[in-house]
Amino acid sequence: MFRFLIALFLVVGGATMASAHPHVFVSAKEEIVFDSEGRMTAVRHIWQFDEAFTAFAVQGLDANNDGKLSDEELQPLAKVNVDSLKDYNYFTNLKADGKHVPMSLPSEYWLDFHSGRLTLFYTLPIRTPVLPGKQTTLEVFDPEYFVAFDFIKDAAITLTGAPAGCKAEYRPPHELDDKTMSMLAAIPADQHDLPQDLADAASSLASLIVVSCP
Amino acid sequence: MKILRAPAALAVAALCWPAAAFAASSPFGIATPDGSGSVGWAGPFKGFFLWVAAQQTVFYRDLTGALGQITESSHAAVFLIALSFAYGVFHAVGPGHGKAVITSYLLVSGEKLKRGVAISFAAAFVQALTAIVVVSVGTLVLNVTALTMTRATDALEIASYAMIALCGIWLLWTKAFGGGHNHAHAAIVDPRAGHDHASHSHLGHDHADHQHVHSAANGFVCDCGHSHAPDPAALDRPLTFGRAWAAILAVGIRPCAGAVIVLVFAISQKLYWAGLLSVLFMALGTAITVSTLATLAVKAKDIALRLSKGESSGQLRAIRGLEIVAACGILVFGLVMLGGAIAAA
Repeated sequence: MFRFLIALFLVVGGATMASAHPHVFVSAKEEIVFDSEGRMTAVRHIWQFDEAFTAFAVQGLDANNDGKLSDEELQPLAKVNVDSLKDYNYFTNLKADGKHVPMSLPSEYWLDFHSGRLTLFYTLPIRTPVLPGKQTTLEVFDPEYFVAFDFIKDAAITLTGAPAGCKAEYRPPHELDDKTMSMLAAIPADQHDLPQDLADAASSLASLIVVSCP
Repeated sequence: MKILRAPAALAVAALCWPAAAFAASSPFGIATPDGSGSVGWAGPFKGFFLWVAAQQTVFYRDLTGALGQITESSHAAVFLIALSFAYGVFHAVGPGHGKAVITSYLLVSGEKLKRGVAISFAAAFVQALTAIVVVSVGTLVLNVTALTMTRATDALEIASYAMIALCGIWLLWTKAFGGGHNHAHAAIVDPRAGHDHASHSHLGHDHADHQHVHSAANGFVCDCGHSHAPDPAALDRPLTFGRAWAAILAVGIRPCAGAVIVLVFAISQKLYWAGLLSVLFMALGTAITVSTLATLAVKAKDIALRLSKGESSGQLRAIRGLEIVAACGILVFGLVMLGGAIAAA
């Protein structure tokens, strides 16, 4: 009888565990920019928000009530977006030959509102330009699952100014194993920037963009 | 010793204050995630929670899709209602819908089951109402931005956690320090000498001896709900929320991010009524899940108490110990979330 009661407390306690679901659905396109020496210099994000979140986001922004959202009207929201993303490391994890590549603050950002969809454009400069190596991976992913990223099938990744012979491909996500899942679950909720090894482990939940250069 | 109760309770509260805090900020600065935002992908129930998360995602996307199509299809309204309800049922499994608070409150306060279900429904309805009021005023009356509405809901979230912590303090106080009888009917002249427990109709459980704890009938939320009065009118006391209002409000004044987004979306499509319907049916689904869990908990406690009749008072003390743990749990939860919400603000 007591075991039942204890078990019940555990179930109730367990039932309060998060099974959060995404509230923001992003269709993403990515771009990696190279310099004349073949080094990666920046990652450009193009994130299109779903209809419902768009409607929520643009609420009250039409200051002059002309039915259109100009750049000036959208810029304050773009700044809020980009400032908030900083705490989440912009959901971006770029690795060259297995080594994590640090990014700087966004060099440019703006929002575009078109046909009922809001799109965020922003550029993350790579702190120190680095050669892509044999294999570079780019992953855009929210481990807290508030934002769901989906890549546009044949346009997921563009390489701009890349050396000849570089190829980019998009790989859909696959299942996580138990051990990794429990490691992820052990992270406190206020720790948005995962330790690198866990970020890498989480990458198998995310869509992965792989760039191979000769 | 009564005078030491308040400082003692506060000392316990201070000791319970944890070092860690859950910061619930938002990646885009607008729309704060419900609850802690951590993902419980581990443990024995992992598969179940993954499945629940998947269902929520599907229903949420489908219901926003149905909203978008409501003007074109007559069936879309029915779909919207069904999807919203299904979403509510699954969504309540996740953080932020009062499961822990309401269940713990029911276990500790000993409220009877019917009231427990009513409290769950009331909390869910208040939560829907809060979303409706915030969005209606914010969108239709004041035409504020999403950022302003997010700040408003963040403030409500802080208030909610503060109220939950308060509820925890009172529950802890009455369970840990409340003692002796202090009945509401103390002033009534009772011709019977002493209490004759056999003639009472206790709601749902028996007492082996006199070891149950009564809180002072001070009118606050955590009255034990027992009726010892031989007066039959008291046994037919109508369902009022007087005592439980604090628990209901504590849960209900923080609106759900999904409900807010759906409502603003609906209004942007000039479909206010559809948004209202969706949120109300979400609340219905949420209420069912929360009241089911609360029912399970109360039933288990009833069985435990019934089975312990005639056994040692040690087991009753153990149950009281668990109640204290539950009360402390609410307090810790409220304080942790309050700290995190303030830190993130």
